[in-house]
Amino acid sequence: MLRHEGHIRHDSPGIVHTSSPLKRVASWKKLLYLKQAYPDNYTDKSFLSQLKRNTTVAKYSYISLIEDFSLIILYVSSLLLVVLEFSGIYLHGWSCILPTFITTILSIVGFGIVQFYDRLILSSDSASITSYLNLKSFILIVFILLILSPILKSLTKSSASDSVWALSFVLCLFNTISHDYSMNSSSTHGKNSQVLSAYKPTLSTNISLSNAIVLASRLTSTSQVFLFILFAIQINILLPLFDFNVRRLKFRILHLILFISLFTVVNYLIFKLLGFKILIYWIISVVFIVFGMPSYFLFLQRYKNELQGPWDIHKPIINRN
Amino acid sequence: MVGYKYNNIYVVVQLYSYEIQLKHLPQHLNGLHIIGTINIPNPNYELQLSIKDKLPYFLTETKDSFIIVFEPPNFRNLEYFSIDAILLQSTGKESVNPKKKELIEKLEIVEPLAGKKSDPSSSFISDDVILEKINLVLKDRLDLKVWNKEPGDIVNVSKYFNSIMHSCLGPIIFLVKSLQTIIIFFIKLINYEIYSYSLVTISQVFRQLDLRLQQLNYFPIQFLCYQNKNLLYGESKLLYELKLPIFNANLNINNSNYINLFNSLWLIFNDIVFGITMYKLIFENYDIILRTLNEDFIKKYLFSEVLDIISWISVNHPAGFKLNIELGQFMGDLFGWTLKFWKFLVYDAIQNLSPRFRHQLFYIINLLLKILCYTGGLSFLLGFFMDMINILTIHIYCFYYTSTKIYKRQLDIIKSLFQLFRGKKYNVLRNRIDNLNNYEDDVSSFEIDQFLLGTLLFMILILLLPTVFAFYLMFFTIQLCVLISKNFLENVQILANFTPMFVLLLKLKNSNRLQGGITFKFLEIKNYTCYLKLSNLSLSYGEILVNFIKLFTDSKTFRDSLIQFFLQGELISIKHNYVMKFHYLMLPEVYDKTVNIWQYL
Repeated sequence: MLRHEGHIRHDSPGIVHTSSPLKRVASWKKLLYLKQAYPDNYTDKSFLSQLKRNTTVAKYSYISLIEDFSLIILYVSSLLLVVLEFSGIYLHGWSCILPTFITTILSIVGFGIVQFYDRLILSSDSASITSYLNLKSFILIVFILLILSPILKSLTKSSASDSVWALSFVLCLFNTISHDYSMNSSSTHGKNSQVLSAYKPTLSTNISLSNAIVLASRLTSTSQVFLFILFAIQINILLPLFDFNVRRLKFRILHLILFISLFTVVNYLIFKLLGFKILIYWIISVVFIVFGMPSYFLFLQRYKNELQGPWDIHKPIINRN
Repeated sequence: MVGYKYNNIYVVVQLYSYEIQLKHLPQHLNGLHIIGTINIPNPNYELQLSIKDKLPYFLTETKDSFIIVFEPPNFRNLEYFSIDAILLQSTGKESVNPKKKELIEKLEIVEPLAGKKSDPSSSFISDDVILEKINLVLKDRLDLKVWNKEPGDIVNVSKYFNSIMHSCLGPIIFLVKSLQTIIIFFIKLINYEIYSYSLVTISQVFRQLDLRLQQLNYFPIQFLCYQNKNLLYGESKLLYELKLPIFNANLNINNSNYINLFNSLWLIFNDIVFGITMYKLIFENYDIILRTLNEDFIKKYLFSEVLDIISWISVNHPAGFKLNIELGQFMGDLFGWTLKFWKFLVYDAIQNLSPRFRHQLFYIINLLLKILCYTGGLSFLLGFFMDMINILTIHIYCFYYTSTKIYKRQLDIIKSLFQLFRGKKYNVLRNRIDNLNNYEDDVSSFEIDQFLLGTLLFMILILLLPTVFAFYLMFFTIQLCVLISKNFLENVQILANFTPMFVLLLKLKNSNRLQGGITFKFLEIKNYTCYLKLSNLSLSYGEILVNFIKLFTDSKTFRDSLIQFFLQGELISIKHNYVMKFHYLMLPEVYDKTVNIWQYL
């Protein structure tokens, strides 16, 4: 195929070399071992045709991002629920028994459901994940908590309240940062089935418990301490675990119900305890995080510049035939 | 001139006005011959001098010669010249003198020896042979006189005295020998270990007794060593068996026996004198002392004040720190109850004894003090005081020990649980921190209940740490005060036991007996001959006292990494290095073979 190669060599500005249109010149091939009629530093238009840009970069869809960012809101709401419940008990003298009772029943029911469906579906790694929590450990924790409650009650008695609130705020902050949100958008590229990786919220579990202990040491009676800490464990640790299992089993509706109910309860409590203005601020920040942050994230994707091409180092494929 | 000749060095011993015939000399005078003349030109002899203005000068033409004048050292006073300093005390290991290296390096620059081969035809004044001949000048003069049968002022009295001594030598030796065996038996007894505890390790009085007995045990050998030089030079293997700290057949190092012996004797005498004085003081004020002891020390300082401090920490906010009141009260009650029990045991029990019994008890203590002071001296009294301090503050030591263990245990648990908090674990086999996510998922990671339990305990222990730390700090400070007072008493004891008083006085009286080296003083230079005066360089005050001062700092210490041990929760005590004291006095390691010295006599 004859191509008219009328080009200008950019590297030597004084010389303009045009080939004669009548001469037959073979097209330039990207092969080193061929002796071609072109000079050594000739740059062909088809040189970069094999360049691939951003092939391994994950492509995010807006909807999936919104779903993932809503997980953050889910966890923050659970934290806020604990803190609001504490302020209710501490400042307004709410009773501890009812909320804890409700959450205990719910958690038992919830885990019953998850165990049931796991056995039903019989997925390969079911045993490992749900063996995370079983009845024995639950009873163990409850009893030890019961025994240690008097000690926990007087732990920070001699500190000023302000230092306790400051400590609790810092702990909540670290909790949010170090939590394992297990977003399914972060799964590796190329896998169509989004399998959730293991759930390991080590540091965040420990910090949640520390936060609960520190807050509970401000309360006045032993039973209050015990019930509040139990409540905090269930909301902060068991609820995200339950949510993770629900998402793993792909019960999207259950996950949505969970999210909406938690969110509503938190909104209601904010309204009741802190007032309408704080509620408006809260809703605005939620909207910003859930809808604004994903679009910003997508906007930032355009700055990704990952190059790949056939000149990358290939691994030799040893033919064993 | 009669003397010795070694290569290019002439040592002049004695002058005779006639040409003496030196034949059939006794063995120790071998080598003596006429080496030259003074004022008599005689071509047969090499050395020809003439005396003018009290200084000799060469009659023959010579080039580059030195004439060195010296006062002959009086060997009866144990004076002699020596290059190495006399070693009075040792630290148990060879000490390298850095100054010596400096001087050798300087010498190498001025007069390099490296190129020259050792010339067998040239000698130096620093050769051992030459110095020995110089040291023996006086003795050789006396021996020459005896050999020449000259009537002189040879002291016959000493011979007479020696003959008396020899006759009653037998019973004396027997007496000393039996005393030594008894002493060795006692030393073995107080050093006998039962479950790694012996009388020596328990009580300071016995430790002082051990030191004193070993000193007494070694006295005969020290005495004999300087009286009878054959023991040092001879074939006696005994001195090697004894394992002295530094043993060198070189006369210099071993001549310290005389000085050390008299130093020890004088110090013991001083000790006893001070002891008797102290005892008389105590005896006169016995009642006052007892009353002060009971009322002030035991009741007030050791009991009430401690109780006050404990209650201050446990309930009232000490120094503004807010501690956990429940734990503080619990621990305060614990320590307070033990303290009250101690007080009941020590104070109330004695107060409630019948007067007759009390009188007897105090009489026994009085008698004990009397025995200690009269037979032992001040150092034993100090040892007794240290033992009393140990006994009376035993409750403080118990409190300190308990609170240290609690603090340390709590600190260890917190460290381990902190790793759990982060989700990691400490691998004891590999001595590193493992990340539990390295392994298969969920196989070896922690379970939720483990996390929750661990975090619960971690929070509790962290928030209770300030209270425990407050108690620990308080008992640590009290124990530190006790340790400082014991340290002070030990310092006084070292002062009483080891001061080199005799050496210092000897330096003032006759410094030629403390050999620290030789020094040359330039007199004049005339006709290519240089005149120098050789004299003894006595030990400086610094050299005498350096090992003594080291005793204060090195033989006992509790300041090693004090802060670090305090923060980690390790126990602090006075660490002793008792062997250093034995090395200081140059006492032998093997003390039971000293009896064998008598067979070499």
